[in-house]
Amino acid sequence: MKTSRRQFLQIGTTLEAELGVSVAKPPIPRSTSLGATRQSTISRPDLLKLKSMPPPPEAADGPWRNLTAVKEKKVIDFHTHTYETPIQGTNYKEEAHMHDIDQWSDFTEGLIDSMNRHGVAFSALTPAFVPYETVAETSFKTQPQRFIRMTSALTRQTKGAAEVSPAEMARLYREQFAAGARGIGETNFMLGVKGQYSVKDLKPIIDLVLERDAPVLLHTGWAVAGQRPNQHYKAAWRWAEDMGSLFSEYPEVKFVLGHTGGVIETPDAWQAIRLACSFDNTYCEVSKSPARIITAAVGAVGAERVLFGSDWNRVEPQTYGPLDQGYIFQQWYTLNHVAEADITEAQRNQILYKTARTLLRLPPA
Amino acid sequence: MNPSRRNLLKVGAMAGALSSLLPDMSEAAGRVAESVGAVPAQVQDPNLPAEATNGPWRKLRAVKEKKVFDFHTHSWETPVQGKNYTEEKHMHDIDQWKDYTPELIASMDKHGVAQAALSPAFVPFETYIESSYKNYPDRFIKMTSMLTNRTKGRMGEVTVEEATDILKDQIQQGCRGIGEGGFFWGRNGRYTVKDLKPFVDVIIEHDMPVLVHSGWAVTGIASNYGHGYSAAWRWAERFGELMSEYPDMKFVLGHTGGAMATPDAWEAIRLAYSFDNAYCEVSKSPPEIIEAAVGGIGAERVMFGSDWNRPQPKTYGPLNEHYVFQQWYTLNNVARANLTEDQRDQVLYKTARTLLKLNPA
Repeated sequence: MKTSRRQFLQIGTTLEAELGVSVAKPPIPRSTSLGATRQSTISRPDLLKLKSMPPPPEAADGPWRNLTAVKEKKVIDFHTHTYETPIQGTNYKEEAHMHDIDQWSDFTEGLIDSMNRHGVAFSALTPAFVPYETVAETSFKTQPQRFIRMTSALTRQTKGAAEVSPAEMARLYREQFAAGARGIGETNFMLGVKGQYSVKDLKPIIDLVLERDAPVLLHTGWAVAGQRPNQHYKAAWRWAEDMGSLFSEYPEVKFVLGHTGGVIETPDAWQAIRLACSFDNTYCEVSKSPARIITAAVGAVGAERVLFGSDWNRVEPQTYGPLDQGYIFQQWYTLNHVAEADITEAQRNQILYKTARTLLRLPPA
Repeated sequence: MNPSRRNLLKVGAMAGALSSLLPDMSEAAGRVAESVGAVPAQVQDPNLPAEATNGPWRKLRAVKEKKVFDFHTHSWETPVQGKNYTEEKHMHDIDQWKDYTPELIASMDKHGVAQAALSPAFVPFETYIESSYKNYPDRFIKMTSMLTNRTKGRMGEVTVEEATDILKDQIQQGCRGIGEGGFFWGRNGRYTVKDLKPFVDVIIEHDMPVLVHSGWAVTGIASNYGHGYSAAWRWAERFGELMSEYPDMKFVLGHTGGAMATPDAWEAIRLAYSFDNAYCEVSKSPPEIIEAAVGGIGAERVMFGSDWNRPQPKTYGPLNEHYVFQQWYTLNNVARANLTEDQRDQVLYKTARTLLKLNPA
């Protein structure tokens, strides 16, 4: 199975858990809708140079350095990946080609290095693009103290499969829970490769999730993935309604809104906030979220239902997609937004590690 | 046929263009220079807001150098406007139109606009050929239109094959881009996006940009009064389907969703961020949207437009949007956007010149 980023986000996946680490400035007011570097002077041909250019000042000396949780090395990153393409494209077409080649590099060491620099003790690691077993034999095996295992429906058995039924997915997840997984890894649903299952069809998976009291991390919102021919462009309300039907059907399941709609504040991020306000069983994971959205999430559902994530997946900034979003997957990026959000330090601590520890049933830090 | 503005925005059209016929930029700039002079301090028109005559647009380098390119203009509209949507619809239904070409030229001269891409609207393509294009050949770039003498009154019957023939004919006549109203969508769901392939193949073969209306529009609402209402996501998904199917077609989001930042303009930004083949034309766009467009896809894919269509401000629609079609309005928003002057130059003329394969200014 060739797993493009979009396909990955559309099929189900899963994995598990353990520990770690480091570092301070006054919040920078940021009222922009996209939460990214506002005055971008980057041009498309410059994108490749991003990889060799020094990151912006806020990467090393941003307000993230003053966060208590960072200084005490207690942060938990609820949303990370370790495998990606060896080389990136400079536009969606090229990037799609890189994914189609189906060759992947292990960036585990790069992630650990980033975690050490940003005071991240643990990361919940969701296998992506490569089978669960590959991540189990590399990232999970070499860094058992730093990664919480999350499940994945992409396994050596299912790779290339035309379809994976909810029952089969539940069986795979059960094996992965037995091997230590503590949550359902990032998925854009579990409605099948072709999306032919209904929310009610998911009951075998849901029963397992409830049995394990495991959180379910769902991708939400617009993503820097690009469109392929034959892929329908979908407006934000569609994923919001899909998610809402799932949350409504299974009110006992703890659903985590990955990215809380993402970097595009309007319409996606506000759709996510609307969803979070609508269901008791939702949590907001704020990777890439603008500071205003983090403030809104905490204000609406409380810091106890908001948690830090980065969506880290490679060392270098992204070289495709919006020019001012190259750095949004870096841990310092979202840490800066947590620091800039209009919330208390106690709320920041809650977001940066306490909520995740509670969801994953880990002892208090 | 009463070619309402909405119909104009829905139907496709085409016209063609060969570089030998193309006006030389320096010559055009020279003409503007004569008429604009050195952008002298202006006496404020008491009927206009202060920013119309003395807004930040006057300090734009591209305006001072008279190099601005307006990617989105029209020159025919109703002789009289209505004061509300019902009246305005009636004015359109009368199907009588006035040529405002001299007034458009006057506005271009006043605002340092060297050239404009002129999209035929309301009257057939041939009428534009015989008036605006003929009288000002070095100021206007011809854009295609599906509304022609042969299609007027029978647009619903036009097939993909006929639309493709019209497109080829207008390209032969010198069109360099698909005008607003020049893309053939097919009527009433008669064709799928895939069915349009013969038409799109011609566009791709000639590497022509396609200007499509996006977002909420005061005139569209007026013309379509009594014909239902669609939320913003619907046009966004429709465009997304087309952009996804034809990734080699340069798709210019006219207005980038328009004056309403939320929801329409942000839907347009989301689209632009999703496709490599998307360009943003920012007529009426608020500064925050212009910034988001440049920040996300680069100034090389963003261009100035005004949607100018008559000299007077609108007398219907939102009270605070009566001036949004005037060239100074969007120029001010470009000036207010947090961009570098080099990025503004790119937006104000360089992107359009590249897209239309014109010589550098």
